[in-house]
Amino acid sequence: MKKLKTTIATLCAAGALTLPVTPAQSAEKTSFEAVTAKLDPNGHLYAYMNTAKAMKQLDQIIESMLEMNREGGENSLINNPLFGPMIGGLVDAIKPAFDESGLNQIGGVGMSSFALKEDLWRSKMYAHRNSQEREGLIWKMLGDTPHDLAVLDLAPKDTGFLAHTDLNINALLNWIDRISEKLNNGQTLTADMPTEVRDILNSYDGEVGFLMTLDPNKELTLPGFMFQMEEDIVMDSFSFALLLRAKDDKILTMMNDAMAGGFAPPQKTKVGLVTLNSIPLPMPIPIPGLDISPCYFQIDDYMVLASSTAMGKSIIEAKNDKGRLKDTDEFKAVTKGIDLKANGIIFTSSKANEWGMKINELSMGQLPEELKSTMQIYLDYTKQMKGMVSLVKSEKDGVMIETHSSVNLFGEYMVHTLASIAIIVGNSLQEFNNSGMFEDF
Amino acid sequence: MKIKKILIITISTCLAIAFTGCSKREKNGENNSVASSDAPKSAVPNSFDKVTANLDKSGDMFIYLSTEQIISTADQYLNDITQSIETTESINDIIKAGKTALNQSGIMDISGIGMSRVEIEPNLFRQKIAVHHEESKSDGKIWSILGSKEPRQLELFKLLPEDTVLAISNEFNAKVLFDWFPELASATDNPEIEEQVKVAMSIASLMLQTPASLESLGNQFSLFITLDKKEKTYLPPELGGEIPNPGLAIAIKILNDKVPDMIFQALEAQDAPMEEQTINGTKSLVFTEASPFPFPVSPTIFKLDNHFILASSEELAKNIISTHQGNAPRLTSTEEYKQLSKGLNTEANHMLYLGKRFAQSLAPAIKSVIESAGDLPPEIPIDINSIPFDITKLNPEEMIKLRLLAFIKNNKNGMIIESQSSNVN
Repeated sequence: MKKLKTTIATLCAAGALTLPVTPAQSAEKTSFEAVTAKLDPNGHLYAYMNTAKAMKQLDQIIESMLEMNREGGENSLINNPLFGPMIGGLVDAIKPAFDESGLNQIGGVGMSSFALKEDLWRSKMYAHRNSQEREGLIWKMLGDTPHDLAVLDLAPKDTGFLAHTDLNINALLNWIDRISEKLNNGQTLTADMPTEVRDILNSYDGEVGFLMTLDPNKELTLPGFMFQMEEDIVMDSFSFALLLRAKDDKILTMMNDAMAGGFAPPQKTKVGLVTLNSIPLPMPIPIPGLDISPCYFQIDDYMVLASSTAMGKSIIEAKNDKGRLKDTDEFKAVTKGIDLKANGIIFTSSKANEWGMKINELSMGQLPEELKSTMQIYLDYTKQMKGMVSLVKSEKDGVMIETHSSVNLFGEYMVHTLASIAIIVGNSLQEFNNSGMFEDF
Repeated sequence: MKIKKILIITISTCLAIAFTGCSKREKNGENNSVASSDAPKSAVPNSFDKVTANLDKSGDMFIYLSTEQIISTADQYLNDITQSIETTESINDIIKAGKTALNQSGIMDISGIGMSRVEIEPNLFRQKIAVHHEESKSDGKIWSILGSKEPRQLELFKLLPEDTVLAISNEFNAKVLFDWFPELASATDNPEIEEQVKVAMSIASLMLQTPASLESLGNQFSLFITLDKKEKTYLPPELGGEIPNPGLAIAIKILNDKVPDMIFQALEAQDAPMEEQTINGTKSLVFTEASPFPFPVSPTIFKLDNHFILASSEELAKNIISTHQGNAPRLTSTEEYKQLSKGLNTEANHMLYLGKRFAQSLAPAIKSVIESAGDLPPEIPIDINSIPFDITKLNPEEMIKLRLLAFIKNNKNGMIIESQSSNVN
């Protein structure tokens, strides 16, 4: 029996001695679990920051800075007879602008970057809201729950860049009004708004976007001398369109009325069931290959203003399931495994990357020889980049931005981007210096 | 009875295995990892598991960043820029040496960094920073210069009196740094520089008896400041009125008497005004020149076990020796230290301690200076009145009311900085 007791005691003591140092537990519950549950562990970046305290402190800092400013000495700007009233108004507006921005409800933010495949990376950025109530501008502005992106039915297959988002303009205007009330003795910005603008806002249905297509069969030639280059720059021709979701055809009617009073009425063409209104230009654009023949039309709920009639037609065709971006191999590959229900989307194709590089190459002509090879590292890197898609999702407890790209955005891409910016900024400063503009300082 | 016996043995064995198992997992860090085993793994390998295993989750901050891609890309640009820019020969030599230093330092081998911060109890925060490299890449100079590859109990704690308010201890291998200079010089491919470094090394060898003197060091260098709890120094009112008597000590760990003997001989040769005294049984050299300061200053040099110590006053020397002998309370016995070190493993290679009395004692002096800022002498080009808020309302005691205990621990995979503090917001 004595032996048994000794054995038990020894085993227990051994166990107790090998007890680990307890991992630190937070004294106060944070949003760590809520935020990190949305992120990808095991990736190249994984970050969480509890912002609840920081936001409280920011609030206190703003408050104490305002207090210090109000009590400032005779040299304080607020006591300056000329600028005092304006500065005072601005100071008074800072606090409500912050309070009603919804920033103080951000309880935590998180980021992650994860390699799904060697050439497919998923990055996530998430801002968690402490309160269930969507109080504050940033939570109302981006829309409610994620939804099917109807705009993808309009994007033609040669879309190079698409940026489209839910945007609650009324929430934004209400926020501005509350601030302008403080600045203008109770006077709001919207009080004096023209009726036409009110009508447009009443017809607006909460979505805006920008779309750019690249035509690989049509080349645009920019004269090289404009960019200190010996040869002309040849690149894919482009067109662009502005998109706006409308509740009815009031905006279209307003545009038709406005155009009818212009120097030439728009030419109406029927493309399927849609009437495309082409706006005649007083003179052609003198850049070979650049098609500028503006048109506007309404297709289902979307009001479209396109830079070329050809693009307008391709948007209408896309809506009729012909030549859509979402059916292309590139779009399918980059969106593989991602839920396309969202409140906003930014898409860049590999062609658009190449196109962007051409624009960057324009600055190469102005770079000194010793920086050209350094800039070339950046250009070579970006040439191998494929398409990228980012989705903004306004979820129940916060806002998520999910991105698929062919490179790690928080690794080599970040360094390449910073390096290119440093080269361009450094060179610009050198140019300024050489121009003698700094000599007066 | 037999069943009872078997039951007890089974339960206790299970308990022991469970405890031991937990311990092993914790040691490897898996238990503290944020990744669950069923979470998908990255298609591109990284050090996520190894770095995050050293961090605390569920706190206010948790960051992991894989640095391999970042460092290699930055290196690509750095190489190109250094090759393409036209410079003078001397700048070119500096660039070559700098590049060699960077490549050999081990910084380029860092594969990931991580940070975490948890409020473990109200107003007590634990911060961790982990810097990771693969074990196979642990030959970087920086890892050798900053100490051994294993943390150890810091002997300095035996010397720190209870009224210590600031203590810094660093493991630093001066010999590795000293041996590195000729390597860097040869990287410049400039015979002149190589020759200059050779001459400098010869002079050092002649005057400082290197490398033997460096080899005699224990590679631990420490400095600490005490503020006497009883004795005070009275200062002019514009400087805060009074401060506790300050003391400063420098402690160098030694393996033999080589360095102390060199210093004693040098002082003797200089005919320095000092006398030999025995303080609490320890032979010491005390400077006898009157102090020009309003508080006691009589530099005292002595050897205590394997430490060579310079104390700013005889009183402080007495205090250190008594503390070492266990006749006076140590810093580690104070409530403040106990609270700050709660849950921390104090084995380390580097240490920093900052007690609350440091800020408390200095704050009145800083406050007085701020309050009299409007009367700054004309040579100081600051117009206090142009600051758009009332500077006299700043409260330095609140601003620097910081208590901190930090340890840096080296291991075969990099280093971990672990600290606990209050009022770091």
